[in-house]
Amino acid sequence: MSQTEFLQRLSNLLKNIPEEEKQDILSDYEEHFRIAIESGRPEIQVAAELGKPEIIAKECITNFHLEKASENQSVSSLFRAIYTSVGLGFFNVIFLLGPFIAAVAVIFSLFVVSFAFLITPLAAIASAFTVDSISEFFLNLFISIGFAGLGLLIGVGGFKVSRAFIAWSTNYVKSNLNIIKEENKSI
Amino acid sequence: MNVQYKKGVLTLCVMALSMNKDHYGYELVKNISEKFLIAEGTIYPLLRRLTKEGYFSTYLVESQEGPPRKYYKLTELGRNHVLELIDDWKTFSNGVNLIIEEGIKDVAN
Repeated sequence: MSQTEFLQRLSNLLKNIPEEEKQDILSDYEEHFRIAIESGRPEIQVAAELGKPEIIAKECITNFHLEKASENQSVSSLFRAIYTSVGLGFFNVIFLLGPFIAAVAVIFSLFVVSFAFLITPLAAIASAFTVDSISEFFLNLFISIGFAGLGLLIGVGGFKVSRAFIAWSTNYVKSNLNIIKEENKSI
Repeated sequence: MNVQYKKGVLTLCVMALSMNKDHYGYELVKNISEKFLIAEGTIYPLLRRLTKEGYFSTYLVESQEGPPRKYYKLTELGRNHVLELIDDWKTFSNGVNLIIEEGIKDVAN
């Protein structure tokens, strides 16, 4: 096979590859022929050593498709990353914002109740000026001390619940960020 | 030789040859084909792929004889990659050699 014949056959086999890329490929083989012939090698032998144009074309076409596939993949994974971020945000707003606010409200009310119970002895003491008898005052005082104890318990409970809640929400935000980061990594 | 296997080895060869010196395609092809039988034409698609993957960069150098020649230069990424390939190859070929020695010993006994 002559140089012209070789290049012609390769060119025909690469008809589905964009023109610019095809010319680029062909120029590699033109260069090869040129240097080989300059160094005194017979054209026919050079062509034979290059191998069948069919094999070369197959390699080039495979490369071309692989490359396109990986380009497409990075585009689709970009979309997937955006989709994940938006989707995650959407899910958070719709399903988690309500419960989150409710949980914060419950924890807050625990503290309010605890505080209110804790200060009842002060009210009992203040009631000294309004009660009719000393026994009523002591009844108020003892009941209020009971309430204060309860308030203390609720306060400690509220503190534990809020600690757990903060830990949980930090983890949740972290895992959200990780999911988004993972998606970005695959781009 | 198995095609996939040969492809992997050829990748290692062109990259290893380029570690200390930039070459033009023909030099790489000849250097390898002197050592074992290959379809020389398959080196060029391989070089194109490695270039697109960022392991090689190319530049043109004018030659006295005529049109410029395309030189292939190993990039930093390529250098790291070929070092890994060489490591893999050493582990692999040592393993194969040990197996062959074992086989030969068994035959001798």
